[in-house]
Amino acid sequence: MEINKDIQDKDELFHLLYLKHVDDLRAYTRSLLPTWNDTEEVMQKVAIVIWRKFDDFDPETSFIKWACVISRYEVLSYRRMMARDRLVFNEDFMEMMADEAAEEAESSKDEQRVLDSCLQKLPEQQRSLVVKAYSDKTKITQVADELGKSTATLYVTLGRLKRKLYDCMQKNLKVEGLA
Amino acid sequence: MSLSQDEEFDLIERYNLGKLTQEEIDAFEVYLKANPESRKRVRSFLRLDSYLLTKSQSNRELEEEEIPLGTESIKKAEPIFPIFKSLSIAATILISFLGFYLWQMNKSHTVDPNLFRSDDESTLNGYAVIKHLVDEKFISPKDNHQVGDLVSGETLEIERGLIQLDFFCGASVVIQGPAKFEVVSAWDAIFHSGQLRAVVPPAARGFKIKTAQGEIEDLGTEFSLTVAENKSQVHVIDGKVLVHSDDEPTQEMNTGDRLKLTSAGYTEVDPDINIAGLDEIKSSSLGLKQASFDRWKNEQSNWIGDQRLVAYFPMDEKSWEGNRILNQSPHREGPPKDAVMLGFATKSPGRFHHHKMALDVRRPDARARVFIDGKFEAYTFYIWVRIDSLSNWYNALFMGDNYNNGEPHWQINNEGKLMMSVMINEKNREINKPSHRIYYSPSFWNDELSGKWIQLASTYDPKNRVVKNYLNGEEISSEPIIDKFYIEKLSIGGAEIGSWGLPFKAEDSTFSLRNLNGRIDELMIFNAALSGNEIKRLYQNGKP
Repeated sequence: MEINKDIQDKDELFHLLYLKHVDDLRAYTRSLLPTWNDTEEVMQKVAIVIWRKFDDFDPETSFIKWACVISRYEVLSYRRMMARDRLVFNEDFMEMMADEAAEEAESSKDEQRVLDSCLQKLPEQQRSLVVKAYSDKTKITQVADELGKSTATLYVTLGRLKRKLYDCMQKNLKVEGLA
Repeated sequence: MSLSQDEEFDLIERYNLGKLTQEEIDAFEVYLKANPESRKRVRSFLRLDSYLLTKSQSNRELEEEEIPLGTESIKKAEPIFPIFKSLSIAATILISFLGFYLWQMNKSHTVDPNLFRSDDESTLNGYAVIKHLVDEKFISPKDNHQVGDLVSGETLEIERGLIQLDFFCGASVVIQGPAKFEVVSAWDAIFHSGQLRAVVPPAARGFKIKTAQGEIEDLGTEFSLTVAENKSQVHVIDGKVLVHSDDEPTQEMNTGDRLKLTSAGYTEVDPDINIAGLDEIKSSSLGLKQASFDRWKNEQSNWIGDQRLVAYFPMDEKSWEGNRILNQSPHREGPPKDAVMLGFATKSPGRFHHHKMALDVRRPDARARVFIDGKFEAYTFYIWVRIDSLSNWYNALFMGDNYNNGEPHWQINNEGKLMMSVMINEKNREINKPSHRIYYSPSFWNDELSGKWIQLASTYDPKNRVVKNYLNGEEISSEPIIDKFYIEKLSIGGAEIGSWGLPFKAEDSTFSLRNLNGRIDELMIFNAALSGNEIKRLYQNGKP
């Protein structure tokens, strides 16, 4: 059980659980879809469905697992829509990915925690580059200008930093016996 | 096959950017299916992207509060997802907003739609869309329906065949003829007679189908229903439904349950129901696509040797080579007439699904360039397009680069009128005198055509002094060429397909946006004016 018994109000419970897990749920959704736009489109739908079906949620069970089921359904129907005009993975493969991703969703918090320490370990300059690039992603050209680099160079640097962070994250999870 | 971690990440990023071909995607999928560890890595790598975005946005806000940044532009940069700019606040706002409307939606499905719609927003009417049709014969409506048509409050009656209707609530219904089916709203339908199968995802819970004997309310399932001779038979294939009737208590049915509803009440039965499911209708529909594709292929072979055909881009499997779209008319003289894709022009599925691809020019910088030399006596332009919207003032189909004397422009304006024109006196352009004449069709566009494959053609015939425009094989306008706008010598030279992106002047890089917001599936250019019958035949044998 993950919530205090005296929260009776549906709204309050919803706020609490949704806010606590929205990052995990977004990461789950992101891991199944091609772009951020796709992710946000599906996430907005997911928020609506979660609210609509919130009465069905049993507070004694895992909220993130329950929410992943809803997101899974939305991701799959979004895939069908995408398939009309984009080349995408087949449905059975997406189902496989969605099911496995749901198993991983509960360790999302661990991943975020170790990533924090990985970010802290990065030299300040690199860390601030990542933060800037991700918080102003639409203006990546501005970030490049500001740093006096070409956009292409910036993308290459960012790609390298991302792999570095990924390796660090995996290493730390392994050390903690979580991966 | 074994890939390094870097290669895996590179592939998933290229997949996400839409840069993999169908073959590459298939191969990557096979690889991932066989390698659970790779799947895990790919997911974790993508989650990292999500975490970084969330963390950066919250970090950013902290930084902005503590250390004022010198760079104004950075501060003002819009977050990618304004709604989540400040996660906690936005989420709470989002929720309080949702809390109100969704509570209402949850109670009933009758939220005032005007709450979500501004006055000048364009609208369409419909509760459902026709997703597939297989071997259908309509009794009503008399003028038939096509795939992609919207259905609002109307009764569909078919003598035979299958229809798949996708309701906007999310439910899909496959109706098997003979049948009579009435769409009441996005959540309700009346089934008068015939057989159907309904697939109702969780989002469409509460979808109802009425029959004379009762009402079936679906709680997120798949069920079949047969209505004939004063009885209805329900079979729950998966999940749960409720059966309501005036005379009987509401009955809950679960997976495998079968009930017969008559005026005398409910009885359990073993009905013999054999109705196509969604997969089957899809494969039948794809089978029909194959048949249309074969018919088109056959027709195509009749035209390739036609002496009048100067350039032909069928965009079939033989047409694509790197970024080139190969001309398939026999090469006679001059430089090759192949087109080159530029900018973000891409390949997308064409009008026969995956049997062939089409040129996608939705991005403003997307275009295909071609050089067609030689003198023309007349023009016929024939094209298949799928337009998402007429988003620009002018939406290019085929445009001569310089638009000098005798060169063509073929486009659609934002009112949906097809425009065929040829420059007559380029010098008048400079002094603001009439330099050319545009032969418009009446407006043929409406939003319901969005996303559907349509065929357009125009013929420009100086010898017979007439310009004609065609839509789906039918002539929609015909106008004489008067003396003032008569020109004998026609030519093309450099031209663009699906855009007109050349800057106006050498020293100015500004160019107007004329790209077609859609796809082009086939383009034929003739040195002759085809007859109405020839265009009709091309359409009939080329329609999807």
